[in-house]
Order: sequence, then C-alpha cells, then structure tokens
Amino acid sequence: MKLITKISFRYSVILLFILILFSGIIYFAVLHFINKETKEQLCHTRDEVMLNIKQGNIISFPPFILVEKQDLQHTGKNNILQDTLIQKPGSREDEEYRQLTSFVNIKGQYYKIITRASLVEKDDLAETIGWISSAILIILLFSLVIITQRTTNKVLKPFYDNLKTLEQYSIKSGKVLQLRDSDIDEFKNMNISMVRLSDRAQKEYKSLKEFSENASHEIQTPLAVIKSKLDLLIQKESLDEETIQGIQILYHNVDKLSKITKSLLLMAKIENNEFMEVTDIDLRTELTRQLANLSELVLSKNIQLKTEFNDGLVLKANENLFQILISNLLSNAVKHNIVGGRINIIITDRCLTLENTGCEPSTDPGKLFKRFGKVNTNGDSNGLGLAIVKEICNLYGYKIDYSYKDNTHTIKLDFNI
Amino acid sequence: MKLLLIEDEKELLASIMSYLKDESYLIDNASTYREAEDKINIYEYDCAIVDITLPGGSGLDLISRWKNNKSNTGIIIISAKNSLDDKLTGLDLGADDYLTKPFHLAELNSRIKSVLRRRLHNGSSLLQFNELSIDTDKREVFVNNCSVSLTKKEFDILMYLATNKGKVLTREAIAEHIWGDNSSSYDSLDFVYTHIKNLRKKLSDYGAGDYIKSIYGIGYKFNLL
Repeated sequence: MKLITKISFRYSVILLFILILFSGIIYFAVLHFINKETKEQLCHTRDEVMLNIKQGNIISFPPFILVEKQDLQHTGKNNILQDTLIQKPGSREDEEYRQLTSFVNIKGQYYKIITRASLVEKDDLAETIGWISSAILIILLFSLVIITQRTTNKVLKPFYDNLKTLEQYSIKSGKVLQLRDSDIDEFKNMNISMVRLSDRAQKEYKSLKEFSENASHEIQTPLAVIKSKLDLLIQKESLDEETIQGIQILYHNVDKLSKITKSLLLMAKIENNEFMEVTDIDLRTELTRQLANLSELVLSKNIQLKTEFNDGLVLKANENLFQILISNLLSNAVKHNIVGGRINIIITDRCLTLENTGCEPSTDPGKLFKRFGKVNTNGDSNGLGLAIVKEICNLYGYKIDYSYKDNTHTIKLDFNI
Repeated sequence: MKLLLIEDEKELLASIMSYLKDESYLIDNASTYREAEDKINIYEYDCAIVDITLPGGSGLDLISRWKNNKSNTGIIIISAKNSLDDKLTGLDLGADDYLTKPFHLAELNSRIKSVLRRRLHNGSSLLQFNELSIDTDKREVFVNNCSVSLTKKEFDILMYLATNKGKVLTREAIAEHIWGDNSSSYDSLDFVYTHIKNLRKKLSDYGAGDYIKSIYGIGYKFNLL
C-alpha cells in the first residue's frame, strides 16, 4: 500500500467519524431548539386565547386551539406539555402535534385550553442532516483524492527517481551515489543517510576486495617456498616409499591451493571489471585452437568428438577471458567424460551448445555455477571452473543453461547478440 | 656467468641458490630494493631474477634502471601477482620472462638458461651430451650426427630434462612445462609417461645412451652415465 493511500485512508476514516458525530450533535441541537421554540409559541398562543376569553370571545380553531368550559376546578398538574397524534382531515395519515393543556379560571369560570403546534418530523430532520453530511463527506473526499494525486506526483517524483537510482546502483561500480534533491526534510535526511551508507559500503567493499587480493598474493609466496623445498627434497637419493608418497601429496595440495587462490583472484578481477580491453573473437577459430590442445586428452579417453561449426560467430570480448571461458567448458567436457564417450560441439545462430557424456551429477545442478559447487568429487577440480564461467557470462550478458538427460551433460551458451 | 637474485623471501632465496649451485654460475643475491640498487650500480650481471614486491620499492623500477643504463642483463621476473598488467609492464620495460609463484625450480632454471642462451651464445646453440647433441635454435636432435625426428612435445621434454641435467624432475613439473598451468591433471601425467617412453625409444634406436632415468614414484632425471 502506498504511503499516500494509507494516509488518505486513515484521514477518510477519521473524517467519516467526525461527520457522523457532528451530524448527531446538529440533529439534537436543532431538535432542542425547535422544542424550545414550540413551547414558547404554545404559551404565547394560550395567553392570546385567555386575553380573548376575558373580552368575551371564545376562540376555537381545531386542531390548533381548543377551549372547553369546565364545571369543576381542575386539580392536579397544570400546563401539561405532551406530544399527540391527530389524524389529518381528509387523510388517514397521522400527524404529530405538540400540545399544551392549561386549566385557567377567567372571571369565575373554569376553562381548559389546549393549544397545539404541528411538529417537524424527526425522520425528515435526520434524513436531511444525513444528506447534507454525506454531501460534505463526498466533496471532502473528492478534493482529497485530487489534491493527493496532484501533489503526490510533484512531491514524490524525486523520491521515485531516487528509488530507481538506488535499484540500479552497485557498490562495485565505484561511483558516488547521486540522488535528486528534495525540499522535504524527511527525504533530504534519507538522501543524506543513503549517500553516507553507500560511501561506507563502498569503502568496506574496497577494503575487503583489497584484502582478498592481497591474501591471494600473500599465499603464493609461502607456497613458492614449500614447492621449492620439495623440489630440493626430491633431489635426495634413497628416499623411502612413504616419504615419496608424502611428497607427492604435498606437491598436489600446494598446486591445488595455488590454483584456488588464483581462481578466486581471477573472479575478483572479473567482478571489478579489470578486463576492459575488448577485441573481435572468432568463436570457430578459438574452439578449433583449444580443441587441438586437448586432442591428446580426447584421444586417450577414446572420446568421439563431433563438431558442427556451420555458422561462424564473431564476438566482442576480452581475449584472455574468452579463452578462459572456452577452456573451462572444454576441459570440463573432457574431464567429466567417460572412456569411450562423446563430445558434440555445435554453433548455431547465436548459441554454442556443448554436449558430453558423463555420470549423473550427484548434487543439485543449480549449485553447479556456484563457487565450490562441485558436482562430482573429482580430485582434480576445485569447483571454481564453472563459477568463473558464470562470472564471465554475467560480465558479457551471456545466458548459460545446464541440463542432464540420457547420460549427457548439455551446456548451452546464448551469446545474446 | 654472473647472476643476481633479488628476492625478499629468505627461504625461497636459499632454495633457488641451492638448486642452482651445481650450475657453473656466480650468484649474487639481494633481499631489499636498496641492496639490489647498490649491486646493480657496481656490478654487471648476465642474468637477474627479480621479485616485483620488495621491501623499499618495486622490482619494476629496478628493471627500468637497468634498461636506462643500456645494460645487456637478461631479466626474469618472479612475482606472486598473476597480474596481466604487471606482466605486460614488466615485459614492456624489457624483461625477458615472467614467472608466477609458486614455480618449480626446474622451470626457473630452464628459463634462466633460455635467457642466457638468447643473450650470450651468439650463433652457437648446440648442447652436447656425449653422442647426443641438441640444437636449441633449430630445435633438432642428433645422435652421432644422425638427425632424430622428434615431435614438438618430445623435443620440449628432452630440452627440459637436459637443461636440468642431474636433477630429479617430477612428472607434474614436466606436465606443467609442456601443457602450461591449466592442464596439470592426472591425465597429463600419463602423457608424460607416454612421451618419455617414445622419446627414450627413439634415442636408443639411434644408439644414444639411456640418459633419461625413471625415479620411482617421483619422475625423471637426465644424467650422463
């Protein structure tokens, strides 16, 4: 719910209650006033009648004025004010009257004088007040809607603009957050806080980035020391089998660690957009060149390689990154293949499709492109190859899809050109 | 041959010195920028191995200094940074090679020799091991003056082993040398085995001695009998 809608809604509800309350007050006030006036009028009429009687005129004007001679003196209540229903002449409908009944003694004769006034119908009164209130309510609401709509667009425009800017803003971009000024204090304060927040986040991101880069670099030197010491160690003659095995494991893990840090560094660099230089790359040429490098591996696993490069495809990308992209995909297709398996590489239109036989992935394919999201525990892979592929795809807006069906892994790369 | 080794990590420095001691080099070392600067000002070197990040300055500045002095020193950068920028800057400044840490000492040795060959052996590029001779320029191998036809990879492996004569090389180091950083998988280790088997057979067919020894569980060693 929009803020302005919420405020308007609340305002409307309050307005409704106020109007109902005041309608009631007006109703009772009007009623009270009418009653008072009626009573005064009735008393006044009675006095007139009495004056006339004194002069010998006995007036009777039903149903408004009735005068009856009385034989006895009235005892009990005098000047009784009451409401009564009297049938209208020529109509069956009853009309409400207020009547004042007085017993008086004029020149030794007792009289009973009834004066009546027709009453305003309460229903009519309530109805009228109701209509007026409703009309006021409708006019107020209508103007409220118009005012809010007009001002919302004007006042909230910078707010919505800033919201859009925030949505598109990335700390990675390294740019200062630029927000539109507003003359409303709340928005002003929010803008200031937002800019401060982004500055702080940027600083923290930068220091984290630098830290991870430095950490990756710093790890390489101790690894170089370990590797060099191992290189010297194996020069020794008469190493027993256990030592040799230990050394092999050390070598392997030094390499693994070194590769993990290098891969993480590469991904950090891709994220930081450090590969700005872009050239034209012929996909067919690149694939052919890399397949030649892999030919021994393909042959040794007795893999049937089929290529369909009918459509040439020229892409704009950084040469190094594109080589890494293709190399990671191809080496995966070989690495996770089975002996005597197949690899099909197809270029169509604007897509590259890689199919290779292989065992079913043991984990969720959705995690495949995540860092360290290894599918099969193959001692050789560090689980970063596809994460790097994904990172490169993100950079260039390529769409990558993975599926597994009939013992075949399929990776489809849509270059979106 | 005079070498200058500039590296601030003492243990790595010691390893490299120890590995290279059998080669007939005169090795000087420096572990800070200042120390290196002083040595460069006084002495002339055939080859320098330079770490980029040094206490007190950048190795890249040392390289520009050499080049400004029109020095003929061959330069190999060893850096923990696998950064393309650094690599390009270094090579642009006139460095001959760039090696990323961690590396195999055999690889460094092979690169040093290659730089020295290019810089110093004007014309003569023949390595002689008894009846076996390797022409490093033309990439040809002769046994008793008969040309042996080797594949590119067989030649590279032979060169690598021969330049690290008397040293045990792991199969991983050989695979890395041949296929580069990205292909040291288990599979490529099998290829090393196959290539070396073929290489040995070809050499022995031409009557060369069996100079390539298998070291059980580790790798291979090129040794004159």
